[in-house]
Amino acid sequence: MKDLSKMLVVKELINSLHLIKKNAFWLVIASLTDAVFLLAYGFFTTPVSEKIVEHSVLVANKLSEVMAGKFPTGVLFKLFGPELRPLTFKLILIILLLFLVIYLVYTVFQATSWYIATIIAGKEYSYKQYLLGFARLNILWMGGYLLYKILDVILGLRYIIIRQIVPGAPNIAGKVLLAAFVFFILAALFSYPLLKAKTIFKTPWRISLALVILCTSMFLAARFILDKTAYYGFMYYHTFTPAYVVGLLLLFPTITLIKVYATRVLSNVHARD
Amino acid sequence: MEKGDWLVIIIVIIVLVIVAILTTSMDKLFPTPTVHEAIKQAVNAT
Repeated sequence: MKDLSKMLVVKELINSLHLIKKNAFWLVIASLTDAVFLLAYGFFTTPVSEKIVEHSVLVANKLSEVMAGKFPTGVLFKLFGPELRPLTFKLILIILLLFLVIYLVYTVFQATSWYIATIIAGKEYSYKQYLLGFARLNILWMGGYLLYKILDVILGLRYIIIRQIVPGAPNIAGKVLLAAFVFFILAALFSYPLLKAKTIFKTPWRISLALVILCTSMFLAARFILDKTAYYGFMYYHTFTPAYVVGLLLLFPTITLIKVYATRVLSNVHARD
Repeated sequence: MEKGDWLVIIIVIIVLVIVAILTTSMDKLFPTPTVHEAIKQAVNAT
């Protein structure tokens, strides 16, 4: 029978657990960085998202005024017509601003968190080197995310029209787009440890698959415990405090463990690159 | 941590402060009509 502990993905999981135990200080800092990231994300993006909603309502109202009594065709043309153009451009500007804010917040916090994970994993980058590499990589991923959002809106609207013509029609294009998005997220996550965009394509698929399955299992297990704690904490004690404690003590350290583990495995696979 | 890293950390903090100022002054940068005006617009539209 095959000795599982000698397999790279299992061996590195054990090594990662040892490294995490040895670097408790960095584990706490990385977990806090991830926790603060969630708060910062809400703090920075909510005002911009609210502005997008406000301007969307304004554009919709103005569009109704312009189109009152007319057959609803050429909506896009009217959006860029003289009456609506200033509002439409303002809306596009705020949407782009939202993406810029997401990019900055994501890059700063996640670069820091991944950098700490690479320190725990035993890799030697300077913070400056890692942050700049991470920022450069994320221009690509943020561009992809923007494209995904545009396609998602277009395909979503298309599906609404299709469903009106053929009720119960399956949303195949939407599912293909979702699958592509999942792969896109994996490609991004694989690129962070070595700061190379093509890492996912250069990693043997057996190792990639094992890594993805193990990392997803660890994350889902932590989420499951967190969800149950939140549910029972609220049901019996009417408070989410136990969930916050579990989140800080379990979920965020698990995320750090996953990052350290991915860094260890991918560094070993691409040691000669 | 290298010497240049501290400079990067300071720059990162400055960037975050600028983004915080930008996002908290969205009402000044992109003013929208008051609720009263918005309702009036909606009524006119219908």
